[in-house]
Amino acid sequence: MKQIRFIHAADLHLDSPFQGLRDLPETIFQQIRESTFVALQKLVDYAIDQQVNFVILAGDIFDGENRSLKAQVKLKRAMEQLQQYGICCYIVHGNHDHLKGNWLSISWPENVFFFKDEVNFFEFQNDNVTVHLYGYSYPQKTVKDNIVAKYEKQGVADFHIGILHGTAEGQVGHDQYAPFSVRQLVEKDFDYWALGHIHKRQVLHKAPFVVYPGNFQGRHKKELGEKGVYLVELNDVHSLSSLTFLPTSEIYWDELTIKIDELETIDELTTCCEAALSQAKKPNHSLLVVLKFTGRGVLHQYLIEQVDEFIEIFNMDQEKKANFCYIIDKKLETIGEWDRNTLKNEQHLLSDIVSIVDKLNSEEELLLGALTEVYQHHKFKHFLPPMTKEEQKQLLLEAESYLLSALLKERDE
Amino acid sequence: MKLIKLHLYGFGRFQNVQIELANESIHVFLGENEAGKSTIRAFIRCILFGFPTKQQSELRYEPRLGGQYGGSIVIDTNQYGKVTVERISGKATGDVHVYFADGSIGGEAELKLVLNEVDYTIFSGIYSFGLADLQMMEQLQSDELNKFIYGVGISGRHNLLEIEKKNDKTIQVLYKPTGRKPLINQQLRKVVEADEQVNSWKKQLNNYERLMEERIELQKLLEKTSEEQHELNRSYRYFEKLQAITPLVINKKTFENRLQQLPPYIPFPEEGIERLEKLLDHSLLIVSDMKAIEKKLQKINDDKKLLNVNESLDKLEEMIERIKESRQIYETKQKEKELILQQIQYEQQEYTVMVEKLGYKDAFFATSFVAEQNLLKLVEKEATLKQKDLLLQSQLDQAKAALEEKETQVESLKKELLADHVRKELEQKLAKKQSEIELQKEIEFINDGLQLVTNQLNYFEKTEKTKKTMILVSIFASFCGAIIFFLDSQYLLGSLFVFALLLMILFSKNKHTYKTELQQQRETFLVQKEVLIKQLENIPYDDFERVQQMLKKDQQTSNQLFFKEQNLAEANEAYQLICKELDKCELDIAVFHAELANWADEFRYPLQLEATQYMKLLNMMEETKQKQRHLNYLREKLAIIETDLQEMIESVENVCKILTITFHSENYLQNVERLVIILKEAQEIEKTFQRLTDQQTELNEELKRLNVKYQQYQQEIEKLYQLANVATEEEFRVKGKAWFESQQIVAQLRIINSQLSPFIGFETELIELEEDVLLYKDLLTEKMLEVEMKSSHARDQEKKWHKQLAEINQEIKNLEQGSSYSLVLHHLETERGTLISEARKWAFHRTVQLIIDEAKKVYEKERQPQVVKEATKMFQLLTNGQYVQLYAPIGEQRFFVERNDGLTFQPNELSQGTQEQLYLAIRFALATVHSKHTSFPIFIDDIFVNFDQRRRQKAVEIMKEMAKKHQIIFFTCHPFIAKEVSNGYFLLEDRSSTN
Repeated sequence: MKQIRFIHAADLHLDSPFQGLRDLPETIFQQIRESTFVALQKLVDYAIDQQVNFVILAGDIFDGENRSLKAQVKLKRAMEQLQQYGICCYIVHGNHDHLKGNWLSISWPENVFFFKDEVNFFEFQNDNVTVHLYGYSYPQKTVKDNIVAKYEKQGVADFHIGILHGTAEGQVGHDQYAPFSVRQLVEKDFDYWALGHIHKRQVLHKAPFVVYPGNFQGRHKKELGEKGVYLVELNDVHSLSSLTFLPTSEIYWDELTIKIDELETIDELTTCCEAALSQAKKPNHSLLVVLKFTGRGVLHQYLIEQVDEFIEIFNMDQEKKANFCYIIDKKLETIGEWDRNTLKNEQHLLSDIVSIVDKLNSEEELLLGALTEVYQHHKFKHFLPPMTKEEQKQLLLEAESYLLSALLKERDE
Repeated sequence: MKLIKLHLYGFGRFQNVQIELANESIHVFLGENEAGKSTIRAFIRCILFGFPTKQQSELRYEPRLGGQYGGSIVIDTNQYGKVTVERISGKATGDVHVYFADGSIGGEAELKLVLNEVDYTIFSGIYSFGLADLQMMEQLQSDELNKFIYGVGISGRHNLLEIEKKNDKTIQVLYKPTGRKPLINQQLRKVVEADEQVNSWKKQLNNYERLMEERIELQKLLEKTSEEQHELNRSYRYFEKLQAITPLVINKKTFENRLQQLPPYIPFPEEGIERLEKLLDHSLLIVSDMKAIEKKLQKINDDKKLLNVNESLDKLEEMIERIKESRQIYETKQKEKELILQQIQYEQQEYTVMVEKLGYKDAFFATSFVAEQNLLKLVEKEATLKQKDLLLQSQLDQAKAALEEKETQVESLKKELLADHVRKELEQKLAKKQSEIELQKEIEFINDGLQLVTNQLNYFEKTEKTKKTMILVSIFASFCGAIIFFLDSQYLLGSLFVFALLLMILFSKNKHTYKTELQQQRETFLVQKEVLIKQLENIPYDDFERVQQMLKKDQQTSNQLFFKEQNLAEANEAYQLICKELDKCELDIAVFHAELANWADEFRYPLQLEATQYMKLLNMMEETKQKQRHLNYLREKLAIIETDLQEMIESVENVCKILTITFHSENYLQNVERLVIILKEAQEIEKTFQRLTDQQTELNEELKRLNVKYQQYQQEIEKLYQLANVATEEEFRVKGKAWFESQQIVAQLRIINSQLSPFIGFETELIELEEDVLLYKDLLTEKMLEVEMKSSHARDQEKKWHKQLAEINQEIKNLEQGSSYSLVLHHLETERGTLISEARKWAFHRTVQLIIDEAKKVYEKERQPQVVKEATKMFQLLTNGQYVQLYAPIGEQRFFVERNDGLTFQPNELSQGTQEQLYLAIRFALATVHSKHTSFPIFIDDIFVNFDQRRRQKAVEIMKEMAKKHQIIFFTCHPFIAKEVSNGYFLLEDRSSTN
């Protein structure tokens, strides 16, 4: 019976800054800065503990073309540590750390194997098992070709493993690099496909395994939940092969939905949020939270006016805790106590506003035109991501809500 | 929609008032001031939209005269038919009930439906106004007017504009296209700065590889120089060594030469010269000491010869010492002798006095113990006898006196007794007196009986009718009297009554008899009485009391006499007894005297003295004898002392003789003193002699010791000469000098060798070095300078490279750890995050602004022109075509009016009346536009005050036109206006008439 065991990780984005952070307490900021390295260390520890044969890093190990030396040095140290236990490491470069990037010539220990910008394979061999690992590194940032076609089984080995950084068909929200379809991969008759690029953990196919391990540390509010790597055991008896998820993220992101329908006082709101937070919190992990307020209720007005203060109170003194729980952002999707349709049928300003918002929703240019001043400004362009449609909708929703609340409040008084 | 009926339960001055509104579309309330027009207006407003709360400034019109606060209004609506709205006090705005025609009842929600969403703001902004509201509009600035119109026309009052203002402010705070302060502008700068930092770091990273190469190059260079320097250092150190040892080597050579040139100096004892000198010195000292001692011995011998020593000093010393001690005793004895002499003299005198006192010359009475005891007994006996005699004598005297006294008493009593015949006479007198008393008593009884009989007789005579009763009573009384008397032992009177009773009984049978009997009885009583009185007169009168007294006293005296006579007999007997006792005592005394005489005779005492006197004599004799004995004792003592004294004087005399000095017999003490002095002198001489002898012995011994030492030193000196292999002192000294010099040279050589030793590893090296020293002796400094120059040059070079290397290392380290780069990367992302979030905020407010702008545009385009259109029409009509156009340019939010001559005016440029007309036109226009779907009644309060007749008529015309669609409720205090407006009007009477 032939068997190998390895760790499959991807999208480490070492030393990459978290996005959408502001005004963080210094200690939390430090912890976040170090989080990718902490995750890397966990990966190494797992490899050693589990006595794996090798480790696969499927691209985007570093975040930018201008990867920090610190990140490279840390990775080198990690590799050296693995070397001490005789664990090899097979690495491809992805779109974020492509070969044209500003690489610094660091001398890597002998257990590290980088793939070149054409499909190639390395042979792993120990007493009773031979493995062929195939890989491809991005020569530049953008690779639109279907690379899979170039992967072919070579020579005789017990296991053939493909390492590929790219977008599988049907994946949204990512750049369409090196696109391929799962079917294509399966047809190659490899024993395992170690994918990278998509940050969401997913198993696309089971026999053979086609796997995105996701990134190993969430870095913004869309990379929610626990992140980690896969421990893979391949057996020539296919049914004995297995995948085990190993969490590596010390800090994880979460989005918590707070419904205000049933709530009447601020105290109740506080209790509700506390409950949600303590439920989301895992021991020995730190948490960055996006609070999403939904529903219709009396607290709508309070939230519109004072949600920032409310959150500030929650965040107070979090930096003093060993494992913080910090509210990083909020989404206000609550509705006041009015019926939009009724308002629309009335004949005054409120109905006008509702109608205008409807109009703005359908005629995108109007809103974008208003925002040009900042969003299209040449100075900002470089730093501000353009408004997505979703964001525009959210903006309109909030603005309408704000106006209606203010006007209705006046009328009620 | 139309109001049909008002029912004021209690509201302001109204109490349960019902007002039916005219069926016409214009309803006029005409009333003078204070008639209640405003109250009616307020009533309608309150019922439809709620009572003002107490916090609001508006009047609440709570009923002054009591009754329930509130009322109801009947409304005719298109949609719901007739509806009654009732509002009474309850919650703050009142409790409302809406009664529908179908019988269902609703609340506020239903009311809202009935009113077709017209709320209080719209009502008071559009549908209800008075002159004041128009004038207030006039006072507003044109800008504010527009706000009012927007506010009124669109929603609540001005809040959209307030929201806009606030929003605009926030936008300004967040971002200005050309500002530095706004948050986003600031944040952008920060982001740009961070970005620049990142870029500069990127450039630095490119240097990394170059730095690595440079580092290796430098490391190689450094290694090379390090080797070179090592070599230079080594040769420099060798030259240094040569330089250090050069003077030593030269010195060494010199000393070796000198040693070879010295005369023979071996053998020679160690420190020979010093040792010789020392020995010679010691010998000299000893010789001089010996000479000094011999001189001293000579002197002592001379001194000894001069001294004269007493040979028997010890014996003498002993004697004189004893005498010296006896000196004290001598003085004591002398004093004692004198004391005893004095005592003897005193005792002698005493003795003479005692003998004289005894009185008997040369008497010698016995004083033995027996004599004394006998005498003591006799003395006691004598005392007892004397006492007894004395007692008896006094008793006799007393008895005699008592006897005499008793005799006199008896005599006197005998004289007092009465004679016998006198007494008998007195006793007879007393007996007679007793019978007289008895007679008197009898007479009294008879008197009583007589009285009774007389009474009975009188009774019989007085009444015949009561006779029977009387008799019975009399019988009863008599019977009772009889019993009483019998009981009282007055038998006589008793029998009288018995008798009377019998008579009465008889009398009861025979009255006449009884009466006679009574008379007879009376007669008897009288006779008896006579007899008795006569008897009494016979008894003579006498001093009865005195007689009785005399008899009694005589009896007492006789009793006393009897007792006294008995006492006398007893006294006599006692007297006789005492006389006998006395005789017996005298006899005893005589016996005693004889006994005493016997005793005196026996012990040689004079006779005829009393026992006590003998006792005294005995005692005195005793004392005299004692004195005699004491005197004798003293005389003996004196004799002993005198012998002692004599002995002492003799011993002194003896010693004096031995010492051949004169003895002064009269002064004992002086002799002793002289002896003591002589002794002391002799002792002193003895001591001096002894001391000299001791010194002599000591000196002789010292002399012997020194001589031995001197011999030893001489031997030592000889020994030294032998060791040096010489015979004389001179030779010894020459050789010694040479030996000393050689020692010094050898020491110098040793020092030099020891100084050289640190430079030398082994023996052969020394020889090599010594050769090199001689070789390079003059070139050394030059050589060293040369090496030093080379070495310093190499050091500088090395330092420079080290510094370069350190810098490169630091740079590489910085780049590798990358903390700075990583930090700026993270920093950039954070700042960018802040920028995004601030921009998002700005976008939100910008969107709000956009919506507000759009809303306003909508209003201006779609709503406001309609208002303006309507208003133009009405204003035209009102001014009779004088003003032709009213418009509000888009974006300018102002009204303009155009006159028929083409001139345009702003509202505040118009006359007051025209302004009011303009606003009235706008009001009507707003109402017309607002109520496309509803026809809410319009409430107008006396607005025509400033209108001229023509325009008023026009206004009324318009009003009538409006009334086609809206019910108009018009309030005025002018009857002519009321008439102009409508034919029918409701007259509100003033308070007096209402009451």
